[in-house]
Amino acid sequence: MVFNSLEFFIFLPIVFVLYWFVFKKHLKAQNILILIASYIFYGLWDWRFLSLILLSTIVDYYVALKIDSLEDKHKRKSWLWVSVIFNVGLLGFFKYYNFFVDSWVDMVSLLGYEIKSTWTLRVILPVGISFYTFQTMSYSFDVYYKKLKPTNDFLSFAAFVSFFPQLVAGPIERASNLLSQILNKRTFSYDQTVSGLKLILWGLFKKVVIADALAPMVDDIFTNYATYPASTLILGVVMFSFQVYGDFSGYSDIAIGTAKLFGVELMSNFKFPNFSRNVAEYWQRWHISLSTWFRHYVYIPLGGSKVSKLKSVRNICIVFLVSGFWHGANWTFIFWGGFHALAFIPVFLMGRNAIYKDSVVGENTFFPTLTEIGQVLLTFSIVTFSRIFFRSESITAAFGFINRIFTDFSYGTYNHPMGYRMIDYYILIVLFVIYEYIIRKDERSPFKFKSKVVRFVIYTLVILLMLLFYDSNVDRSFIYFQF
Amino acid sequence: MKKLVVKSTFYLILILLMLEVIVRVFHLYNELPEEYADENGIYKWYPQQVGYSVYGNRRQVYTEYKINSSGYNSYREFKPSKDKFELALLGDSYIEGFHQNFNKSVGNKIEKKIKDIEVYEYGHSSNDFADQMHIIANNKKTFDLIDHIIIRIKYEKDLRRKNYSFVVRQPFFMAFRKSKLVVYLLNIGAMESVKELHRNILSLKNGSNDKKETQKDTQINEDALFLDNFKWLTTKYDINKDKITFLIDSRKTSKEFLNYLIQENFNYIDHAASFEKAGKKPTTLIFDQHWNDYGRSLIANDIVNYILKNKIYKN
Repeated sequence: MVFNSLEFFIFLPIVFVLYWFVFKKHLKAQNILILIASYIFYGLWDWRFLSLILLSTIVDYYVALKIDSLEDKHKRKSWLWVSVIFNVGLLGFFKYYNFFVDSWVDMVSLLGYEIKSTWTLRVILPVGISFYTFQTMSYSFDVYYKKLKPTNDFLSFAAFVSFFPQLVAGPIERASNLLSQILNKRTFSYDQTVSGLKLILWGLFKKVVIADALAPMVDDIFTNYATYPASTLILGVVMFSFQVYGDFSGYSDIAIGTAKLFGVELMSNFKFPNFSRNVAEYWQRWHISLSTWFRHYVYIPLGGSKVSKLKSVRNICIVFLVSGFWHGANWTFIFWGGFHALAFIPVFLMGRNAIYKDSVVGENTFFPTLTEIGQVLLTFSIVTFSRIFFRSESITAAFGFINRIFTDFSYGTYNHPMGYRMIDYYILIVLFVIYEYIIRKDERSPFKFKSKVVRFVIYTLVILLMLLFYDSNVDRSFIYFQF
Repeated sequence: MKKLVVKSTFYLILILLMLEVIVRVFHLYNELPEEYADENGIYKWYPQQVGYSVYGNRRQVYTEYKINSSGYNSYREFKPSKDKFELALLGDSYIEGFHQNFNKSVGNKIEKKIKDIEVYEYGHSSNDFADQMHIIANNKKTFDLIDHIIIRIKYEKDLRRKNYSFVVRQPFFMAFRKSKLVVYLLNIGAMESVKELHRNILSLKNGSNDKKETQKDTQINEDALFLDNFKWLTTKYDINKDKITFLIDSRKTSKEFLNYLIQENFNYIDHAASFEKAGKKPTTLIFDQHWNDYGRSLIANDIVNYILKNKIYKN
């Protein structure tokens, strides 16, 4: 079941009504309802993969209890390894097995040996596996680092692992935030529910109007890049930048909004990354839950920035490469991660990686300064350039794409593959950037305007634009589901 | 909770009203004329209606239609006589032409190329070959006066029935079509999932019959079925092979069917070649497969060439 489907809009009110009207007084019943609803939500994709979620839940539930019951550091660590090996093993098998086999065969053939590989398997990648395995692992880590006491309530723990609003594409929650909310009684709040509904609306807008509307053009340009002039390729990758942002941040908004309907607050996953002033700020604003996960469980355990500069640089490289690899079993993602490491290291070495941590562009004024505009444009260009690797089917295609931009620069007008007016899309992107700039200070309140009339007009406009750009022929699944 | 229900209902109604107003003011909705079935069960539009057809989310196609006294979308009245040359075009929505201005139709384009010819376009959405046969048979006097008839056959759709029978056509969501917002939503495909759900509920209600039927359908060789239906209908209505020509697209028609047409001396115009020659230049609309202005010009050219080449019309 996907958020932007009719099934979800039937499913959600039913679960909402049962949750607040039928099981309102019983926390346990509410959690069981969440668990059942989540399993239905996931099972409608492929019920067979529910067994993987259940298995991951059972393993980490017992591992955490075991870690907590032990005092011996080595034994605790051994149990932590059980969780890591199990979850990474699951990921490795379903997501990376074929990649490793193919890469091995390629490497051997480079050395002059010929192997006829029959080892690759026909494995379907279970939706959301990268997200829930990281979430369950974080629980075992937190218990291991004694930041959290494990729960004895298996059903609530299972509800935490499979919580349907964020099960398939995050935000990847830490147990200290989500599990504690699931274990405690939630009360209905009008403001929280309304805020959730607004986020759902804004998320749908980003998905339907920005991501889905740009998708046919991006697909066309990346598939036929060899036939297009450089100007079109640049247009394609800029559009992809907006598409992937609209798609993933739209998904995250719907997830956070949906969780709010059940009295649960999830962490923010996006904070207007397109207005970042350097790459470090970008990573504080883009896919925050994943960056936080890597910071807590990879970067800091490796020593973080409290070691020598050289080791810190090594740690940064590791985090970005692993993060790239997390996205998919393809060299394109590893290059993407490596590119970001290269872009991040100079900012880190200049000590500018945390200077924008608590501010936004145009912090005290409405308009940004010229310097800020320059910084934002430069960061956007760097990040957008990296997305050539992210979007390309193969590393050869990515370099072919880049090569065409730099060695064969030419200009040509681009026509929409379906024949639609291009100007509609250019205006749309400009208006979207302006609107996001206006609301840039609070990612949780996309419609924070005092006047009720203004709010009403904006709601209507948002829905109208969704209708004007809705395309029933576009594949409506979310990009990050593949990860 | 009460506050939430009351306020969200209020906002929802207000937003829907606002959208209804916007859709009406900017005329984003498709205006379909009113339909009726005559005493012979032939679907027509009530005469003398004028209005605008709108297609695309952002009103990318905005065209005028005009229903004549015979109940078809045409700029001219159908008044055949012995002293004129008349050509009838029969078909579905492609011939009906709500996707174009009524004065830019295929018929109109033919008339511009051949002097003193009158083209009568008997096009009505959803009509199939059985319907066309039924129309000709039930308007014998008129069609006897018409000099030549061209029937467009959309192979994959038009030959599914062996016999004509009156089918009640009830547009989906009829009760709500007074709302222009609903009409707009239906046009842009935003209600497809609701339609699908509705179909699923109906098939559940009717047991698994529909499913069995579908499975059975797929098992039958469709090409054989289409050919069989065509044979049956042409024999039943005893069609005049000299007077009737079929307009087909050989790219989408089975070889067996084409061979049968040749073998039995049925005349046909194949527009596949001219469409292929068009290369990258689009011959259909953006949103669906209906011919655009260029596509209609190609069809008109093919028909004109055929008529002149075969001396059906003599100057």
